Amino acid sequence: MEEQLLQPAKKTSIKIDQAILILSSLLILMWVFTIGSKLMTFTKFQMQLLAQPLPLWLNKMLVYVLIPVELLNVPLLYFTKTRIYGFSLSLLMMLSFTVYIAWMLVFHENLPCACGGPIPKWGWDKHLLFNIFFTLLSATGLWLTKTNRCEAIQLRSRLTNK
Amino acid sequence: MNKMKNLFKFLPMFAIVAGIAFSAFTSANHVVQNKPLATYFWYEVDADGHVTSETLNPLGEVDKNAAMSLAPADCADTPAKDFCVLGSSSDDLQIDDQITSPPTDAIIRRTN
Repeated sequence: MEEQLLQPAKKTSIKIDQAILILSSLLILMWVFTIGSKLMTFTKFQMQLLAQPLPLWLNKMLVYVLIPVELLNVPLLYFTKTRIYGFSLSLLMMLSFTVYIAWMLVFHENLPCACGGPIPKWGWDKHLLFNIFFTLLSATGLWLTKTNRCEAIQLRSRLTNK
Repeated sequence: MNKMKNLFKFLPMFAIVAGIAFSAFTSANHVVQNKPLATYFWYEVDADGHVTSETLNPLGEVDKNAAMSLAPADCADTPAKDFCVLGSSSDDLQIDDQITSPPTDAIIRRTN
């Protein structure tokens, strides 16, 4: 009887799990693609990053720090236990990139983009839309993961109390 | 239903493989295009042929295509104009150094 009452909650939890898996996979795809294309054309990425209107010491540091930090997202998003940190880091990074691109759009539209894959050809406005999409995706993933955790805790406590 | 669940489990793994495949595919053309070009350290140069900046690529030599993404907006390699960015094998040219007759693969020309 108790099991029957808990069935709808379990089904909802499974659907949320699948949604989280889809969102994390999309983010993994985006990060791996971005990292891969940056590494394949590392010299060009280096040049474009050094041309950004930031202090040279920061640009030089970003050349070597950005890719490892982006890479960190992949294992964090891959494993269930660390997924919440993966979504948080992705959200933080996508938010920073989005703010930076919005600033570039206003002040420095002619500068090259130090981005991976076909993105540099899109122009800053399309790149901004792309980033907003993945920022929202990270935020949704984070929210769903938190919701799912709360529901799992509630479900467990209901099962132990009965 | 169970098969669907199993498929979902492999989704992140599939995303990694697809990401690697896509990035390799999109970057391949770029690599082939840049291969035959000589690599240099690049410097901004004024209309009189004087160096006006430190090297644009302090971390290592790059080819002309990569250097063009660093060049100022009015430098886009238009033939028969003064050159505005110069490639040198030295990473230590000084500001105000006078440049004479560089080879054509070592210069980027002005657009206006």
